[in-house]
Amino acid sequence: MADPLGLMGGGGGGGGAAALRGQRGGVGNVSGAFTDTGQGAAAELGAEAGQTPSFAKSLLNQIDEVNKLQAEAGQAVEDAVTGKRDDIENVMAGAQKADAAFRMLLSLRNKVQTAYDEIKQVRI
Amino acid sequence: MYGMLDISASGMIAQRTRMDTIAANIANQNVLLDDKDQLNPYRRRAALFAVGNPSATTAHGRKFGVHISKIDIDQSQPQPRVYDPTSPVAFKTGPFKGYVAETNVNSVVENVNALDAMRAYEANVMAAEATKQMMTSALRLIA
Repeated sequence: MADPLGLMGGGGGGGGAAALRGQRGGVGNVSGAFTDTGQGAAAELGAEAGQTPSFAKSLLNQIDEVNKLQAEAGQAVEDAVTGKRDDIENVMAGAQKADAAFRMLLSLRNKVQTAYDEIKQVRI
Repeated sequence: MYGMLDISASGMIAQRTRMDTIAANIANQNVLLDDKDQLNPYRRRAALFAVGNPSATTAHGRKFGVHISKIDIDQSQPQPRVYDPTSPVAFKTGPFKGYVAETNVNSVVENVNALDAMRAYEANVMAAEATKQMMTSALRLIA
């Protein structure tokens, strides 16, 4: 599996990393320390919108992609059952692709949920 | 993205098509007449594989897949074994005049090829399973 969500290499990775850097930059600005980048979170997020998609954007794109794969797989299975196509191998491959993509998305969602729960525990 | 599965799927389709030709050869091994009831013994078919699968939906599948380039007809003339000029399917002219016509299908060869196609198909299924397992284990990093 190369990189289903496009987060490790290329544009998506840049987006995710930039978002994280942006967050750290924001914290730095608030506290007055760690102002190593000299850029605010908002400025960096705004700048990256032009070049690489933000983490949220790439996540939404991936949801669309997974949805498309699922719909295709469902259609393929329906066509195979009703006799419209006979390449059962491609149908199975499509179903597996959709399954793997969905589980990847689910894992990411669970990870984000875990992160949110952890943040929620922080006392203010 | 998930093109690795397309490679195995194309391999499976190729082996299935090959199995189709083998099944056709076995089914037609005693066929001596063509569709116009003329003496024209069946000639065995052979599926020829070629690298790449142009009909794949992913670049990965197009590059590393396999496809059937053509289904060849083996035109070799078998040595007839039965001499019977009275038979309705005996050659009327030519070097084998009076001999009963035969197809060039050898059922032993076809059965061995069928076994090979089956094993190759299974190997593709195994490869697809391994790919799937690799995808699943990559998820362990994030979960």
